[in-house]
Amino acid sequence: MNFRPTFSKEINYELNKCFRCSFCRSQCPIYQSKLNETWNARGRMLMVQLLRNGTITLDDNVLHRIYTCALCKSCEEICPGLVKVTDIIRETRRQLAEAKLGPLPEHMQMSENISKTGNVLSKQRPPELQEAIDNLPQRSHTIIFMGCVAQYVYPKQLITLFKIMREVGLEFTVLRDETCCGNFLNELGLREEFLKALAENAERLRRLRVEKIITLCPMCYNTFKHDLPELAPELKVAVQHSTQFLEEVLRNQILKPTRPLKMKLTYKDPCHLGRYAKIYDEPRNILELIGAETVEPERSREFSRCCGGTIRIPYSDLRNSLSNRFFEDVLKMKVDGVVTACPSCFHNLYSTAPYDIRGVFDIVEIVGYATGIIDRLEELTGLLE
Amino acid sequence: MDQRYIDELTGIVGAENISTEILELEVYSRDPTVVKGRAEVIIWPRTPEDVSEILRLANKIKKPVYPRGAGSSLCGGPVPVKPGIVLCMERMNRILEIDIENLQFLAEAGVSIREINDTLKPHSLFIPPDPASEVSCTIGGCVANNAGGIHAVKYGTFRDWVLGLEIVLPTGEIITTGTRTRKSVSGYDLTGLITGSEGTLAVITKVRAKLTPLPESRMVMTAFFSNPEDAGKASFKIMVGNLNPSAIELLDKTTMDTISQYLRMKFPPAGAMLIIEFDGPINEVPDRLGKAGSICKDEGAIEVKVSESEEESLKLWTARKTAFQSLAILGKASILIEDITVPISKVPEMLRRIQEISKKNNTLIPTFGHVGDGNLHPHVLYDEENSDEYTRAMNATDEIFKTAIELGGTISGEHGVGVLKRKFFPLEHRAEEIMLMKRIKSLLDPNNILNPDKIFPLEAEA
Ligand SMILES: Cc1cc2nc3c(=O)[nH]c(=O)nc-3n(C[C@H](O)[C@H](O)[C@H](O)COP(=O)(O)OP(=O)(O)OC[C@H]3O[C@@H](n4cnc5c(N)ncnc54)[C@H](O)[C@@H]3O)c2cc1C
Ligand code: SF4
Ligand code: SF4
Repeated sequence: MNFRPTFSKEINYELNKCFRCSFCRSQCPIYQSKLNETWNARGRMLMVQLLRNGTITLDDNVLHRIYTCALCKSCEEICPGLVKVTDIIRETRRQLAEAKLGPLPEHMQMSENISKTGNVLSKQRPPELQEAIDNLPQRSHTIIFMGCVAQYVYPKQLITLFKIMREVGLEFTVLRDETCCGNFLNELGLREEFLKALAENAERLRRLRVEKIITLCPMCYNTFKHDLPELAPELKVAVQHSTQFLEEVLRNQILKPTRPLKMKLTYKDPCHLGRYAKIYDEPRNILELIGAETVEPERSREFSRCCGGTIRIPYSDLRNSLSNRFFEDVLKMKVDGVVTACPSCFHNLYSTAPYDIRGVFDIVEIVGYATGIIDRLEELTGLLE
Repeated sequence: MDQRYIDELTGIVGAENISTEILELEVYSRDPTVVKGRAEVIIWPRTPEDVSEILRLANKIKKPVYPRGAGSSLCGGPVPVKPGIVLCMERMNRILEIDIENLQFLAEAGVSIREINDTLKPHSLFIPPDPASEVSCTIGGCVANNAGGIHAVKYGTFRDWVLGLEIVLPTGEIITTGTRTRKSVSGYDLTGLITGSEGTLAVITKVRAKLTPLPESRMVMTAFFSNPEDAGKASFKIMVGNLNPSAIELLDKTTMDTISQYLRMKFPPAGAMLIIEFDGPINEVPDRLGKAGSICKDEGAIEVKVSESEEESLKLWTARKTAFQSLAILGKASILIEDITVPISKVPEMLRRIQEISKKNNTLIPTFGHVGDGNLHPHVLYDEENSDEYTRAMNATDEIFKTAIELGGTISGEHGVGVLKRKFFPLEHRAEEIMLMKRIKSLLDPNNILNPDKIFPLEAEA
C-alpha cells in the first residue's frame, strides 16, 4: 500500500531524536510480551522513519505495529531522548485515517457506535442509573461527566459518587444528553470525529454554564483538561478527577471513614491518570485517609505496568498477556485486592483477573464502603463479612 | 538465504522463533550508531542446544552469525555487516540461580542488568558494573563487551565480576568455563578470553558472576572549575588520595550547557564540572567526601556543593545519563562517540589536548566521561553533507586516537571496537599481537562465521 507520512517540523524533530538507545525495552509492555524489537518503541520509531523515507511500504505487519501501541507512555518515562513516542504514533494514525487506510475495522465499529448512539458501547443506560439521574437537578454549575464505561457497564460507581457528593452537600448534576468524550477517537487518529464529539459536549457545557467538571474516567479528564481549552478557550471550566475531589473532602474531614477496611490492597496507577495526568498521590492519600493497608507494587507510579485495556479491541490475546503480567506482580504481593481509579482499567482487570485474585475494586466504591455510604462491595463478597 | 536453510533453522527453533519479515530485518540490522547491516534471518534461540544447532548449520553453509543482546552497542558490534543470521538472545532471559551463601548468581545471557539488580535488591546485594544503559543491556552483551560504567572507577568492569560462562563455539560445541570458586589457577583463563571478545569467538549462553552487598550509604558532590584541565587534575588527586571514590564523572562546558537547556537545569557558570560519589559505611562517607571537596578547592574549584537529598543526587545522575542525547541541541547530524582511556596521571593532559584538537580543526568536541579511571568520551560533531566539516571531523578523530595512544592509553575503555573503531586498531596493537589474536580467532572459528568484520581492520582500512 502506498503510504508515506509527511510530518511537521515538530514531529520530525521528535522522531529524529530517537537514537535507538534501547532503554524503552525495559518498559514497553508490548515488547515485553513479544520479546521482539519491532513491537518496542524503538522499533516503532524506526518503522515510522522508514515509512516516512519510503524505505518500507505499508502492509499488515506495519499496521499491527501501529495499532498495538497501547499509548501507555511507559517508554516516554525512561527515554533519555525525551522522545514523544505517543504523539508520533497518534500523528501517524491520523494520517492513516486521513488516507482511509486506518484504523482497523473493529475500531471503525466503535466509532460508528458513537455516531449512532452517542456511546462507544452502543448500549442503553441501565434503569437504576437513569433513575438516579432523574432525581438530579436540571441545572448546576458543577457536573459529573459520567463517561461511557461507568455509565453503561458499571453504573454503581457513578451512583456511589452521586451519593458521596450528596453526603458532602455538593450540588451537582450531569449532562443528561452526554455523549462520548471522544478521547479514544483521538487515540485512533480519528481527529475530525474527535473534534466533532468534543464540540458537541462543549456546546452542552456552554448551555448549562458549567464551571466545574468532575470525571470518573481519566481519559475524559484529559480530554476536558487539555483538549477542551484548545477547542473552546472561552469556556473557563475547572476539571477535577474524582480522586482529586475525594482526597480533598477526606483530607478536610468533610467526609469521614466510619467502617474499618479489614483488607490489604494495592493501588494500580491507570496510564491515563498517572503518566498522562500526573495524578499519583491523590489516590494513595485516599487509601491512607480511609485507613486501608496498602502495598506498593514493584513497578508503580511512572513505571507502573499498563494493563492493556486500550488495545483490548481487537488485540485481546495481547491484552491478556499484559494483564496477566500485571496480575503476576499482584499475586506476589499477597494482597486481598487491587484498587484502580479508571473505569476502563477496572473493566479490563475485572474481566481478566485470574481465579486467585480475590478482588478488583474501583476507588470510589471503596471510599463509599469505608464511609458507610454503600453497604456492599460486590466485587469482593465474603471477605468483609 | 536459500529457503532450504531457512526451513532447517525453523526446524530447530520453531516458526515462532524465526523471522524473515522485512520490517524485522530492518530493525535488527541496526544498533544506536550509523552502522547499518543486512540481516537475512532473525532467529531467537531458547536453549544452548538451539544455539549449538544453529551454529553447526551456519558453519556448514558458511553463513555469518551475529549475536545480539539488547542492541545497545555504541560501536556497531551486533550489526550484521554481511548478509547473515542475527542471533537474538532476548528470549533466553531467565535468572537461574541466586546463591546467597556464595555471593553469586547464574543467569541466561539475555537478562538485563536492571532485572538482575532488581531481583537482588531484597537480598541487599548487587552486581556493581553499571553501564548507563543498564536498564536494558543484557548480561551476555555486557560480558561480551566487558562493559563498564560510572562505578567502574571503584568496582571495575564485568571482567572483574564474571566467574564462569556457558558458551557455544562457532563449530557448535557447548562448553562451560570458569568455576564457582572465587579464585582458580586451573588451566588457561577461557572465561577471560571470551570476556570482551565482542561476540567474535563464542556465543555466551549463561553467565555466572559474583555479587556484593549494597553499600550502606552513598553521597554525591559537584565541583565546578574554570576549565576541564583543572577538573582533570582534581580528579587525579582524588584518585591517588586513598579516598576510593565510587564515581568521578566529568562534564565540559558545552555538555553542561546542552544539558541545562535540555533538562531545564541550572548550573553555576563554569568551564567544567565533576560529579563525585562516595559509597560505604555511613560514618566514613562524609569524611571522604569532605577531603575530596578540599582537594577540588586546592585545584581551583570555583564552587563545591554537596547534594542534600537522594532526589538531588538522582537528578545529577539523570543529567549525566542524558548528556549524550542533549548534544542533539547543537543541531549536528552526525556524532562520533569516542571512548579513549588514558593512564589516570595523563587525564589533565588529554583533556587539554582535546581542546587544542577541537580548536585546530574548528570542530565541536563536547567531552564528558568517567574521568576517574581515565575513560573519556569526546564526541566529535559534524554534518555529513558538509564535506569540509566532515574532513575536519575525521582529522580531529584521528588526532584524538593518536594522542590517547601517545599518552599510553587505549582506543576503547568500555564500548568495544566493533566496526567504528576497527581502522584505529593498529594504532594500539602491533602486527604480531594482531596476528596472535587472529590465530586465536581462526582456531575457534575456522570458517570466520561468528560476527565477522569486527575488531580487526578490513584489508582496505589497514
Ligand atoms: C545511552 C547509552 C549509554 C551507554 N553507556 C555505557 C556505559 O556507561 N558503559 C559501557 O560499557 N557501555 C555503555 N553503552 C554501550 C552498551 O550499552 C554496552 O556495550 C552493553 O554492554 C551492550 O550490551 P547489549 O546487550 O546491548 O549488547 P549488544 O549491543 O547487542 O551487543 C554488543 C556486542 O556483544 C555481542 N554480544 C551480545 N550478546 C552476546 C552473547 N550472548 N554472546 C556473545 N556475544 C554477544 C554482540 O555481537 C556485540 O558485538 C551505552 C550505550 C548506550 C546506548
Ligand atoms: S528510549 Fe527513546 S531514544 Fe531510546 S530507543 Fe526508545 S524511543 Fe528511542
Ligand atoms: S506507548 Fe506504551 S505500548 Fe506504545 S511504544 Fe510506548 S511503551 Fe510501548
